[in-house]
Amino acid sequence: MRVKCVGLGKSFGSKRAVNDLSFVLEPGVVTGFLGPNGSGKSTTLRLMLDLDRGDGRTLFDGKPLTEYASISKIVGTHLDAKLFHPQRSARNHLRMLAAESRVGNSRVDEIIEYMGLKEVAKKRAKTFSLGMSQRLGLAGAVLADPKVLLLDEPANGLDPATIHWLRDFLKQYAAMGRSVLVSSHLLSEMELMAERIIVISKGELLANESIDSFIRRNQSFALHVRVDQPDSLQAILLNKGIDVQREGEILKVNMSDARALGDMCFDNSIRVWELYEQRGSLEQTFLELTSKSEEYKIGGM
Amino acid sequence: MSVLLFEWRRISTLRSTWILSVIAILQAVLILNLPFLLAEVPESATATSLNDVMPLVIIPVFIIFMSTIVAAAFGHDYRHGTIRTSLSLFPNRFELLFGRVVVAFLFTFVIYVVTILAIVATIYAWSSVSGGLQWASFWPAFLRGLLYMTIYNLGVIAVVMMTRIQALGIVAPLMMSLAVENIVLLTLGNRYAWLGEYFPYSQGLNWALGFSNDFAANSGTVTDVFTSMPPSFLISQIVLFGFATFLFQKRDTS
Repeated sequence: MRVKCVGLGKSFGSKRAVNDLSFVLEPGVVTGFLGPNGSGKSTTLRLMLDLDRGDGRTLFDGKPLTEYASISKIVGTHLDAKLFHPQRSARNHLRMLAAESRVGNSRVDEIIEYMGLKEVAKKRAKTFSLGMSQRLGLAGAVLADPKVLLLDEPANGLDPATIHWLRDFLKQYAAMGRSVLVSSHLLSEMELMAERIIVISKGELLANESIDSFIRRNQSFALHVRVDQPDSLQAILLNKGIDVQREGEILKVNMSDARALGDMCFDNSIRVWELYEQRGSLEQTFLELTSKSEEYKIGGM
Repeated sequence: MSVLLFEWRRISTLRSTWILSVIAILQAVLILNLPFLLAEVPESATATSLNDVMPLVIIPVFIIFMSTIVAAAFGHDYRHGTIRTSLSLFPNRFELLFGRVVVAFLFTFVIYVVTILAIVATIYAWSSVSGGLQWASFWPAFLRGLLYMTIYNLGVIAVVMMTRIQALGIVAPLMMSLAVENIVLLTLGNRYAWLGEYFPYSQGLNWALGFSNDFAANSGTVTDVFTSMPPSFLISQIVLFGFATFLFQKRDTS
């Protein structure tokens, strides 16, 4: 199912939390949703589900959610690890959610087993650890086998083995033609989990593309070069307005075209000993991109 | 409709729902039995008939337990943030509100009926009690209690929806009924005697308890129950609920 968000917007008082945000979630793809704290990720998810009243609209295969008969077969959500009544048992919580789509108790038990919740199924949810709560939230999201999954920080509190399981699960889920949107602060994990990313900051869209293209497009000083006349090359590059940093014998050049840099060295009779592309991580690129616009920066010690 | 099943599972899977219901029934039966239990010779206890005692048994205390169950319909959701879960399943807010009100009110109706049956059984158990059941006056008394509970709870659910605070939904209407309006009447009643006629909660309570002059004069039929109902009580609760519905449709969940 294709999910199209058009012009999503939301203000809290005078602060614009989300501003004219438009993007599309394609089926068969896990899309990561990234942004610094307070950038508007959770607000965007709530706007998509019409939980918060704001501007814009979200269409699921061209129709708003309210036009579908059974919502949980269309979109499964996990917006917070603790969104359940603490006195209700895990099984009863899932049975309650199952009522919307008329999913039977056998499916509830199947999901409980699948999510590794069998031992605690009859225990009250208030006794659950954060990891268990996350699993219960995920169980609720996938209970009716929805065509779209919207997950807000589903990996928080999970142990490494469960994170690994979650990654495989979401990839498999998307591979069956479903659309998956996952917001997370675990950028290294996101790099392994998602194919595409949507990056927002201060409620505005910064990027909506594949992870590879995002890194390539936003990475600074991607080319590293070692030459016989580093001073000369540095001067030439600076003359041409190209950022360059020197680190010992290595020059880090803010260019993406290795061939052009090689030619430039050749034209100026500079001998190249080493020239390679340093591919940055998603985390590094994300931090570089958002550092300027981040609202709540952590102070230095 | 799946929203009704969802709501039934929501209300029935909470232990507090059943604990409150059992206490509500037991306390009503206990209050009714007190005169007989305290009398040395039970037959000498003052004779009673259902329509005389029922409003006194049902209304003052029973209503608190029932309003707590009704207030929890939205109170729990706002307290634990699960309103987001509910509304992501039922994005049509009117549908969720409809299901929630219908199931909560049906549930309190069933507990009300069970309580009445328990009281009737008790009266028959004291077989020597003079008077016994007077069926002609049973139905007006039954209806009066039911209507009062339903209209009162409409206000309870409205306060919770507006304030998102479950406790306020229980306490505010109770304080209005038992204290606030009476205090205002005591202080201003001499100068503005007409004021009392427009105070919804005290008017409603008097009507439910059978203290209303209009009702006492025409206490015989089911029709009289409706015609004697104080309009200020009914209208105020409907207006309150209407405003709460409007806010519920417009506001964010966060």
